[in-house]
Parts: sequence; C-alpha cells; structure tokens
Amino acid sequence: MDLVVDIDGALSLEQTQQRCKVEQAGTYQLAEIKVGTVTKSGQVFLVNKAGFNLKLSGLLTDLSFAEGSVATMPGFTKLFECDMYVQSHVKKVSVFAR
Amino acid sequence: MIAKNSPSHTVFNSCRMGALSFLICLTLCTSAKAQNTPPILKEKESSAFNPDQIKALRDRANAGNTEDAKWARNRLIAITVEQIDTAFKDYRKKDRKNSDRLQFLFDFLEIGASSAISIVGGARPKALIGEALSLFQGSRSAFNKDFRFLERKILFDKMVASRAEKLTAIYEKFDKSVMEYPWEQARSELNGYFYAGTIDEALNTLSHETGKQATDAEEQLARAKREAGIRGPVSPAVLIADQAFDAVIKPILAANEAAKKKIEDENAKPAGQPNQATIDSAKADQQKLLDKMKAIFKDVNDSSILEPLLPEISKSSPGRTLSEALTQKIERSLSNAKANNATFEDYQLVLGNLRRVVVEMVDNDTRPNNELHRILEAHK
Repeated sequence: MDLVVDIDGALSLEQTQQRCKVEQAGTYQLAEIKVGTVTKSGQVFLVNKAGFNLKLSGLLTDLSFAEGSVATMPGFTKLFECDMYVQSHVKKVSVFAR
Repeated sequence: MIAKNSPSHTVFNSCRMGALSFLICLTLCTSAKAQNTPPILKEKESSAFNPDQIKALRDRANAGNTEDAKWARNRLIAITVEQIDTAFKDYRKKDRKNSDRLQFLFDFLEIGASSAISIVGGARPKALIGEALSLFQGSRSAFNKDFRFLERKILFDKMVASRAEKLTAIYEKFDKSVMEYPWEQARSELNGYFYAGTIDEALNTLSHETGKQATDAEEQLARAKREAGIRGPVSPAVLIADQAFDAVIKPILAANEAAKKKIEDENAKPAGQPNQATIDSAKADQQKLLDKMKAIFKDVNDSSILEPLLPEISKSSPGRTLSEALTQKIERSLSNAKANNATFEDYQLVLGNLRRVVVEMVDNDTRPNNELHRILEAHK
C-alpha cells in the first residue's frame, strides 16, 4: 500500500466511508481496510487501517460502503470485501466506488 | 403423623397460630428509641424563632456601615442557618422514618407469608399464600423503583455536600463589612443554601455533575485519539473544503484524461488510419492543461503560506504512513516541479498531496486551504 491511514474504529459505517473519501484526496484509491489497534501512553484504541494506492488516472472518487457481503450495487464497481470495525464491532463490509 | 381432626391435631394447630400471633405482636411492639433532644434545642422562644427579635436585628443590620450592623447581619445569618438546618433535619428524619416503616412492612409481609406457607396445610391455601407473597414482592420492587427509595441515600449525601459548600462560602464572608456584604446578599445566598437541601436541587446538581463528567471524559478520549494520530469523523469544514477542491480539480483532470484517451484511440487504429489533426488537437489541449498546472504550481511556490508546506507533502505523520516508494516519488515530482520540467502527473501528485495537507489543517487553520482555493479559482 502506498498510504495507510488509521481511522477510529468507533465511527459508524457512513462516517468511515466519508473519512476514506476525504483521505483519497483526488489522488489515491482506497484498496483495503484491515482491523487493528493503536497503543498510545498505555491506552489501546481500535482502528481500521485503510490502505490506499496512488491513482493518477481513472480514480473512482465516490465511495459507498454496504454492510454484509453484497455482490453488486447499481452504477458502482465493487472494490473489495473486508472485515472492519463499525462502532467498535467487527462487521463484514462490501466497498463500492464510482 | 397426627391424624386430621384428632384432638392432638387441633391442639397443634392452636399452638401454631398462637406462636404466630405472639411473634407478630412482639414485632409490632418493638420500637427503636431515638436520642432525646437537648432542651436548648427545643426552645421556641429563642431569637431563632422569634419574629420580633429577627425584625429588630434586621433593622440593626441595615442601620449603617458599623461593627454593630455587621454583628447583627452575622446573627441574622446564624439564625437563618439554624432555621434551615432544623427544616432539613426534620425533613430527613421524616423521610427516613417513612422509608423505614414501609421497608419494615414489606419485610414483615414477606417473612410472614413465607412462614405461613410452611405452616399451613393443603395445596389451595399454600397456593393462595404463594400468590400473596409474589404480590408483596412485586409491590416492594415497584415502590423501591417508583419512589426511588434506594436512591434517596445518594441524594441526601449530595444535599449534605452541596449544603456544606454553600455554607462555607457564606461563612467566608463573615468578616466583610455590611457595605461589601449586605444582609440582602447574604439572604439570597442563604436561599441557595436552603435549596441545596432539597431533592430537586440534589437531582439537578447530580445530573449536571454527571453530565459534565461524561463530557470531560469524552473530550479526554477524543484528545488521546487525536494525539495518537487516529482519524475521527470528518468535520463539516473539512467536508466542504474537500468538495470545493473536487469542483475545481475534477474538470482539469477529466479534460486531461479525455485528451489522453483521444490520442490513445487514434494511435490504436491500424497504420495510416489515425487522424493526425485529432492527435494534434488533443496534444494542444494537453499542453494547455500542463501550462495551467505549471502556473498553479508557480503561484503555490510563490505563496508565503503554501510554500513552507511543500516539504510536508511527502512526509508520514502519526496515523498516516506513506510508503518509502511513494515518498521518493512525491519528492521527485516536487523537485521536477521546482525545476520547471515536471509532467502533468508530477503536478497532479504534488498538488493532490498539498490538497490533502491543507484540508487536514482546516479545523485548526483555514488560511492554507483558502490560499490554495484562491489560486485554483484564479486559474479556472
């Protein structure tokens, strides 16, 4: 991955989707999300580690996350499926973009 | 075994009922003796309860800025405190007594019903007493829940703490002159002291304190997450800034991609068929777009707000890790842009990462974001 961003695992699905869209910054494409933890001063936080790849052409800027294993979404391309934190609980999520 | 309806059975039943009645009487007759109130505290003729003496003291407290007025004011305060304390103690005593009586009644009924089940014979009476026992237990939990009996102790503790705080604040002003601390102000604060001893005020204070504690804890957690570099929800300001960039940048990138595709499509045709005019036109478009990016970068590089941020675009920060390969790529593109020999992709990479940095800063400092927007708008 070219870029990895730690996103708060306590966020809702929509908030995580919005955060990933902003992190793409018109330059990177979201490529994966993995669950993880971050430890700071003895405190452990649940995070989603969002991985992005540099994409200077053909970038799909609009993201759409759907809970569960969803095969298709009209008008969107499926990027991947992953297990991620949604409000601090691990959920299966399908990630689409257009 | 004792045969039913036999004389022994009758005697045994009578003994059981007698023992039960004796136990009930014994329980009802038992009372807890409280301490006797000292005579001086029973006295109703003292100034604390004498309206004429209180009026006289009030007149003296308002007579002027003298030591005597101060003394009268302090006495009025002491009398009011005594009256408030008496009211509070009476209320607490009455509340505790009522609560204790009810709890005793519930205990008595429950124990009595439980004992009766084992004493009486026959399935029907046992079932009836069992139902009655369930009723007592249900009523007790409903009373405890609805009348907050179990929370009363906490509320009284809160009242005691709040009253002590208020009274300390009042006593600290005893040395002030009547000009600095007139009786009217003292009375207003004494009013607060009185309300600190009410259930409503205790509930309000508890609710306020727990609410504040929750807010503080949430803020502390959010701060710890920020320090750890964890990205939280996108703020409205960041969202607006991001969308504004899309509106300006997307058409430039789309035009460049369209020109690129035109050239690729023409070159994909069999030899001799590509339209050179189309290719030349697309290349001219690409050059215009490259010139536009170059001009944008020049303004960025000349800006005293944005130029210091350029070295930051290739660096990792807490919670955001750039790969070594990406770091080198951005640095190379930046170097090309500064040397004025960059490609469209070089500018795209540099400006895209600069956008990422300035958008990230929006919640703390909007100037870099506004400056980049101003430059982009100028080259639209």
